[in-house]
Formats: sequence, C-alpha cells, structure tokens
Amino acid sequence: MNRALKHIILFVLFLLIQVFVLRGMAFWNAVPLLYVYVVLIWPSNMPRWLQVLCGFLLGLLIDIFCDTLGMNAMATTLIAYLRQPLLVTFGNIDNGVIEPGERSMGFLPFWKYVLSMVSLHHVVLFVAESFSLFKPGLLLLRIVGSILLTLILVFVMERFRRRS
Amino acid sequence: MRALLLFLHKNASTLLFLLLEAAALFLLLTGNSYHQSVWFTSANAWSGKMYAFRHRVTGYLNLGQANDELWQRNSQLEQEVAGLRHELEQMGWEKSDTVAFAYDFVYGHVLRNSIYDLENTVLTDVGAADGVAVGMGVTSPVGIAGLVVACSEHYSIVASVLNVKMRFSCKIKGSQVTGPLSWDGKDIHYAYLSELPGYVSWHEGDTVVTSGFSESFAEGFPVGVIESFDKNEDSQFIKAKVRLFTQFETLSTLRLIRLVDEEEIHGLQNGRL
Repeated sequence: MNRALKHIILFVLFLLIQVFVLRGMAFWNAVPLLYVYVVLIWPSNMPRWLQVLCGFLLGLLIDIFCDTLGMNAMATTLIAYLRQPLLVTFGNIDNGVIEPGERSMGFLPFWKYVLSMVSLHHVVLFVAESFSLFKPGLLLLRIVGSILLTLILVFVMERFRRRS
Repeated sequence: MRALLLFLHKNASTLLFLLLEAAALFLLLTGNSYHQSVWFTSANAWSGKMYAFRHRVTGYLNLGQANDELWQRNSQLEQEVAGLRHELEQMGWEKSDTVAFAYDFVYGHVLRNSIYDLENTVLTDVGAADGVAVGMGVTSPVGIAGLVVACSEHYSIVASVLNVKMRFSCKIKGSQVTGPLSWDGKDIHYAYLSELPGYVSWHEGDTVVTSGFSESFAEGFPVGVIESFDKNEDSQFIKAKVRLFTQFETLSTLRLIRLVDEEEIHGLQNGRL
C-alpha cells in the first residue's frame, strides 16, 4: 500500500512538472518528455492491465493539459503495454519484485530498457504529430533531439534516486 | 462460452490496450475540430482553473516586458493620433462623437501558451460568458496572434499563428494582393506569406497586414514585416518570409476581435439574411 501511494504521488508530481515546467523548455525543436519516467519505474509486479490503464490515463492527462489531443495517450499506452516484455528481455527480473533502476537492474540492462522505451514513445508521439505536417527533416530532428533531452533528464533523476 | 471467458481473462491487458489505443486514435483523428471536444482540452473547467491559479502566481513575471510593449505601442499611437488630428484640423474637421466601429474587443490574459508543438495553441481566461465565440480573430498588443478554435464557459483556446493547420488571409500593406499566411513548424519568429503574384515587385521591409477577407479579422491588423523572398523558378508565385510582430514566447495579453456585423456576414455566407 505504501508503495502504491508513493507511485500515485510520483504520477501526479511528474504530470505537474511536465505540464507546468518542462512544457516551456526546449532546444531547437526538441522537447524533454520526462513524464515517461513514471512508467519506467513502476514495480515489476504491477498487474499488466493496470499498467496499460495508468499509461493511458497519464498520456490523456498530458494531452488535456497541453491540447495535444490523443498523441501522448497513444504513445504512453503503447509503452505501458510493451513494458513487461521489454523488462523481461533486458533485465533479470526473476529474482523477486523490483522497481526498475540502475541499482536494481544494473547499469547497462537498465539503460537498454530505458532507451527502447523512450525511443518507442517518442517515435510514436512525433509520427502522430507529423500527420498535420510531414517534414522528414523536422520529424527526425524532433525525435532524436527529444530522445536525447529525455534521456539526460532520466539520467539526472537516477542520480537523485534514493538508495534503497 | 467458457472458452470465450477464459480467452478474455487471459488477454485482458491486450484487449484493454487495443481499446485504449483506439480511443486515443479516435481523439487524434476527430480532435481537429477542437470545439467538439472541449472537454478533452485545457479549456475544461478543471485544467482551466489550474492554469488560472498558476497565472495568478507567476503572471507577474512577464509584466515588465508587457508593460514596455504597451508603452511603446501607446507612444506610437499617440503620435499617430496627433498627426491625424493636425491633418484633419487643417481640413476643417470638427470632432464628432458618433464614430461607429466595425469591431470591438474582448480582453484576455494568456494562461498557457505552447510554442514547441506543430499545432500550437493558447489558453485564455475569457470564454463564452465574456462574449467569445469560435472563429474570432485574436491579436497581441503588437500583431495578430491567432484564431479562437474552442471555447467553454470561462476559457477559450486559440490556435496561434504558430499552428501548421492555420491559414490567415493577409496582404501587403498598401496593395490589394492577398495570400495565405502560414507557419512551417520551425522558427517561431517567422511565418510565410505565399501565392503572391510574381509580376509585382515587392520590397523587403514591407509591412504585412490582415486582408479583411475573412470573418475573423477586420482589414489592416498588423502581422509582420517581409524579411526575404523565396522565388521558385517553375512557379509564377512567390513566397515571402515574414518576421512576425507578435513575440509568442512572451505572449501575455490578448485582444479577441468581435466584428460587430459578424452575424450579418455569417447570414450572407449561409445564403440567408
């Protein structure tokens, strides 16, 4: 219960940070989307249907606040659904319940997992966005730049994470 | 039946996933008409209130620049009025109180403003209750800013000039040649005025204003100045790169234009009067 409460608080916190702080930051045409960090660190025993539902809810709330109409919901639902198989592929989660992180998974497995999740999310998001204006160069710039920015922020978050 | 239930149970998360993705896709595809889904935008009462609260807390941060902008604009206008009055007095004009304007303004604040998307929007703190309606043109103190695309009771959403789906009918000041102004998704300081006939010679530094050929803007609202031209050899049209007057990164106050005979125009277009 304690853990559930912690993740609910994180959910709200990262939603607010994304909407009220990170939204106003960008370099060139790339934007940091740190809110996916919430999805990354859900415990490994969280029911899969709940992951999908919470992923959708997180994305939808971002969409509502940012007027992006379904784009974030689409991308976040996808990574919430694919999280379990990716976690199994890259990390050794056989030995008990874990919250994915550098400490619990090891540096390289965790970052492989993060890279694949973040890339999937950003590709889906920006491809969905590009339906209104398709410019391959701009699209590529937005995807690659945003992945880099998000990864940097996830890296910073991992430094801050309490040792447990 | 048992097999079906078992199947549903085993694949619950996959089915839920497909269902929710379909919902997201539906929102994405039908969302173009924002006003049909106001609830799913920041103009809904809850997020509107949260943004309004933030505005109350941090709204003071930009006041310095907003004040400068207004002060400069005010000085320009004062000069213009003085000049016009002088000219009119020489022509023997007497002041009358019965000047009818073709439009009036609803004044709003910017609660949320995006500039890093392709379809950028602005949330304002005025809505239907203040007389705002979908389709009204919006300007900042210095130039055009966008078009109202959705409004709830107390909030409205403006698709800004920085929205790749928007087209604004504009013209070069002093001419009658119009063309659509649109944004290319890259630099928030520039938009492009296209479909200008190539046989007329335009100049860099010419001012671009609204054409008045839409029901959203009256004629002559400032838009920007021409920075350069892009002449395509195969085409008989030229495209002008326009430096926008409105600074979208520090947008703080808006005027929403209410054309007085708007209903009449609507009526004409719908074939009834």
